[in-house]
Amino acid sequence: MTAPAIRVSALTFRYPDGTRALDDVSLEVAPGERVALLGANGAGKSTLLLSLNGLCDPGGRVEIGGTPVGSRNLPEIRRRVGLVFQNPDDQLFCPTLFDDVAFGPRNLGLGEEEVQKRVHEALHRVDLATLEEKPSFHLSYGQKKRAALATVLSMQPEVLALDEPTSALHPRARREMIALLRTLSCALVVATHDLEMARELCPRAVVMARGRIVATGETSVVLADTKAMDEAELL
Amino acid sequence: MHIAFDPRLRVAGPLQALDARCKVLAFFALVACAASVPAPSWRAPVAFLGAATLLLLVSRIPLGAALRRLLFLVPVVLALAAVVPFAKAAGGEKVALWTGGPMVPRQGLLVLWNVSSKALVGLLCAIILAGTTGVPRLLEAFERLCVPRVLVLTMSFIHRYAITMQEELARMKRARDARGWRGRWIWQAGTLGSMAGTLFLRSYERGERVWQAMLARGYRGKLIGPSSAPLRLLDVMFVVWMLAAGLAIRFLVR
Repeated sequence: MTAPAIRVSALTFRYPDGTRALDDVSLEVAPGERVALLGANGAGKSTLLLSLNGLCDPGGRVEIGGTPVGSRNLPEIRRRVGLVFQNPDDQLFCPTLFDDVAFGPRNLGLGEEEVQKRVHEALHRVDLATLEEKPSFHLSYGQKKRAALATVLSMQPEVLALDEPTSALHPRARREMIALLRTLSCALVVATHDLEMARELCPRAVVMARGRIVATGETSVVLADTKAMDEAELL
Repeated sequence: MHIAFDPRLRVAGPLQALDARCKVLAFFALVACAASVPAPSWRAPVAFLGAATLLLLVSRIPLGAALRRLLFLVPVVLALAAVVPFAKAAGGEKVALWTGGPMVPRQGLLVLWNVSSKALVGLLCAIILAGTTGVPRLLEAFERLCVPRVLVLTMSFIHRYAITMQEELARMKRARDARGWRGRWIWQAGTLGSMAGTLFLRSYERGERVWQAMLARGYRGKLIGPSSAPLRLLDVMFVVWMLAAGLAIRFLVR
């Protein structure tokens, strides 16, 4: 039987100031499945995404494709889990767009020819192929959002963890982003409070409130669960 | 924006095509020769300045951009001018600064010229090297030239976070000016103080997030650029030529 793309068991995490960000969170995501992670600001969505990539070290267990996340296999985990931050300016820090998209593949130790191939593919996929020599800070916000996605697509991940991929996008850019995400074959975990996107993109939804999972299931059913949505402050 | 950070200054030119390692070595050789010129000499610094200016023209870096960066040197030279000519006041020939003006020791003026011109040559070479190479290639060259890794990493983070801080500052200035701040009165100076504090905290937090984004894409403490092409004869000849020019000026121009 194939191992789930993500298996998270009994995750608990407190920030140094005592804020409980994750409280006994357990979740499984199948390979290629698209799951929306719904919750208000501070519900623990971003912390959960960080723990998938080994960027925070919660109590409990995280497995990616059957491999437990631990300090010894972080390079392998980071190859398999692409993490896209909410603010694209955090993700884009190289002198040119090409260098930003090449950053991950180069860290994987790939040869320059393969790096170039992957960068061109990723930029073509997000429709930014003509801008590769442009500095990232000269891109529009919508272009930056797509560029941030390209920086992890070039690593060909098995799991894509996206933090608010449609936030602050105008309607057409939002629609294009959703259409783009629908074309990806890897497992997607999308943290968002864009409920319409969750409905369009993800067959399954998980609702978080105060670090706990309060509802999970088919997206349309979860969105109709007024008690859970109210508890998550999404109504 | 620093010349090495500004991709708009990237223009094609003969120096841009050279191997970064060779450029670092060649410019280091020229600056080392210029720095070793003994204090009383005035012709050799002129020759070194001429060589550096020639390189600037060849590099095709926009002259306005380069000159603006040279202005950094003005306060340094002024500070030196206030002290150095008088440091050797005891004995020696004195000359008038202008007809009927104050008398200063000739030796002191020579030392001032010597020190200022060396600083100018050093800065010009740094501008040409940074402007024709770009930070990622420079850092990679340093790493390959066995510069201690902690220094290369420090430089790479200065590069990352200088841009980050610049952007944060620009945002804060926009927000400040949009609310009618004109900076005209002394009591408005407090705004600058709180901006500086906020800039530090915001940049620190942004820096943390950028660091996480780097780790998330497999960063393990080493910046990896495109693999360098093998050295060509032209690259090696550039080092030889620059070293020879430096030594010739140093020892032949009196």
